[in-house]
Amino acid sequence: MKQPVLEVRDLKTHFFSRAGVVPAVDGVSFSVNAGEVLGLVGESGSGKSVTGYSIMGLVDPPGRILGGSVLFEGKDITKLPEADWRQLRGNRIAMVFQDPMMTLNPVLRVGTQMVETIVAHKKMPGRQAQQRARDVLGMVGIPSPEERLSAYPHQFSGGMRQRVAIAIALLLEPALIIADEPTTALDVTIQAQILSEIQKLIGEHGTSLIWITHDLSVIAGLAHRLAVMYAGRIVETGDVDDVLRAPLHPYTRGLIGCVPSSNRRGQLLQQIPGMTPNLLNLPSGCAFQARCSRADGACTAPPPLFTRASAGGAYCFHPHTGDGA
Amino acid sequence: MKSNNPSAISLRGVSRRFGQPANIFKRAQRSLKRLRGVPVRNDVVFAVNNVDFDVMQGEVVGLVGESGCGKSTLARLAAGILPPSEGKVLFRGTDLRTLDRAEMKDVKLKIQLIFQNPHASLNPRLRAADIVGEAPLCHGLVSRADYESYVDTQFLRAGLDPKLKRRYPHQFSGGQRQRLGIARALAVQPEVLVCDEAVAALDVSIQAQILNLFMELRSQFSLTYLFISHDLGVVEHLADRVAVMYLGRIIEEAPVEELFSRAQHPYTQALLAERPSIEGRGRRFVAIKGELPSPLNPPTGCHFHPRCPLAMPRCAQEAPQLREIAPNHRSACHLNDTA
Repeated sequence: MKQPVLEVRDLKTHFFSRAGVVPAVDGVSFSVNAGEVLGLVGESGSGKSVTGYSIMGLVDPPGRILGGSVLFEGKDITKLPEADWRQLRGNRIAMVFQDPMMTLNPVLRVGTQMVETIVAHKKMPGRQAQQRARDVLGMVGIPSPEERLSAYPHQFSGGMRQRVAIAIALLLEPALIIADEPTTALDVTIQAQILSEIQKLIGEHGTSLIWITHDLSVIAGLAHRLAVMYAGRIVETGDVDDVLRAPLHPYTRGLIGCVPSSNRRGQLLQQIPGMTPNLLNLPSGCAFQARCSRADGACTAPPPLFTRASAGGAYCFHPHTGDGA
Repeated sequence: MKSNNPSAISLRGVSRRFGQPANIFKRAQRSLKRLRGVPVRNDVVFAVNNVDFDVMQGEVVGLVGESGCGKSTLARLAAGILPPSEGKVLFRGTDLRTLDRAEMKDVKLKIQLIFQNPHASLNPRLRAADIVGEAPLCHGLVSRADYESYVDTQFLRAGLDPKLKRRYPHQFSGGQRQRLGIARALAVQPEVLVCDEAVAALDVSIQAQILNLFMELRSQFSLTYLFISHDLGVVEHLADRVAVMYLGRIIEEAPVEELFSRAQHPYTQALLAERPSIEGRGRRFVAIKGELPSPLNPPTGCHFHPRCPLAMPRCAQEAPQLREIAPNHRSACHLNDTA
């Protein structure tokens, strides 16, 4: 079997705030194979973004990676010195953030920012770097890329800015791209444009992708595999088809039921009662027990992994296993 | 569509322009330019452009469109808090301009707004009880003596625990804050709720709770809703009738089943095709080209023609009229004439 591009094992990232220790990511494990799209799904505060930052080595104090390992192409990168990190970041692993207004430098031309990225990693004459920047800009579907290189970020619309951010991520043909809710701030039509570009590009280059989102409907069309996070832990993994068709974990099932869908028009949506728990004060055992209809006394112990026949599984004492309940 | 019901809110030929008030320097500059024969462009945005639109009593009307298409302006016009530049807004058949101050106040109470961002739309310095109770007390809907119990009732209606009423907004979670906004709107006994992206900022599980609350309230108090959203799934779930806006104009309007199964306008068709859905797994995303043009300088003729896959030469010259193509189904497209 091929070695996965990225393997995260028992990753723990905690924030040491004044109010106490926040276990934002608490024992997360997953892997991404070459050319695979992994959807990381969860609500706000579930730790999905912090997982992305931890892989990129972008966790700032008071946050700290306490334990676990992140194997990128077989090497543990959590303990790399900063100098080695700089070789990796942007070059082999790239990230696309949610808000393209905040991630581009407003006082530098787009071309300058792109060339800067190339020159930081590769010895390349300026003209050639310029050429490469123009090509990639054209690749992500920006019209007349030659002229747009000398434009400033504010001269682009939101969708175009996100394309620039994606272009910068693609510049050096990384092995892995982490995309943190890149289409959440965009309109439906623009979101569809970005999704179609992304789908095409990763298909052509064999890039692996981690797509972080709260929107199950985006993931349904894009990802191969899915990992659902709740309160800092992964509660369910599996192939997209399996997870969406037959969710094992009550939380995944609840999430899917929450999505307004045409075949339930006019009826009440199934809702998950209560709200996401405070990470400062998590119950022992399964974090979902307070909102779960299946919970009982057993749930105060750490839930076991129930494996699915095909791939993946769920951490739950009472998984939905086709008994119709 | 419940066409036998009387209309709650009607918009007749309503336009709303926004322009920068020119200062003296700018005005002088412009007249100088005019003297020299240089064309002067007016910086006027037609946020809403000649819209005819009805919300019937007891109906839930969904309004969809991309950002910048004028949805929120239309909401404010319909709620009577923004006067139209042209045309008239009628509440139960009465033109709002003919009303005096006292009558206008009553109308404004009958139409309440719920906003997108529950962080920004609640006064951070008022306790939750005062946020909900201030307006009914001011307008004499409740006496001082009944105030506390009235506020408790409003809290319960919106699914909030009255024990929390001494708290400040920042002590509530996002979903609770949106409930607080709903309680505030319901406290003045409105007939129409205008929800401007009321669930857009919420997590999926909280969004489902709030949508359910809207539906329960509707059946309890026979409320009328104008529900504005960019999320087609939410609108499809909630609305009886849907109107689609593009760059200040309504381009299609139909009962919800009709619109989602037989959309006629190319823009609506594109919107529906691009909607990611949980059922559409492993599919290829096909994208509509281009983006929403600047409303400062809209395309001639049909606003959608530069992005339209079916555009004809006529589309660039002449704006299509919104007209009925099937019972209760109105659409603005030149293709209706050829078909």
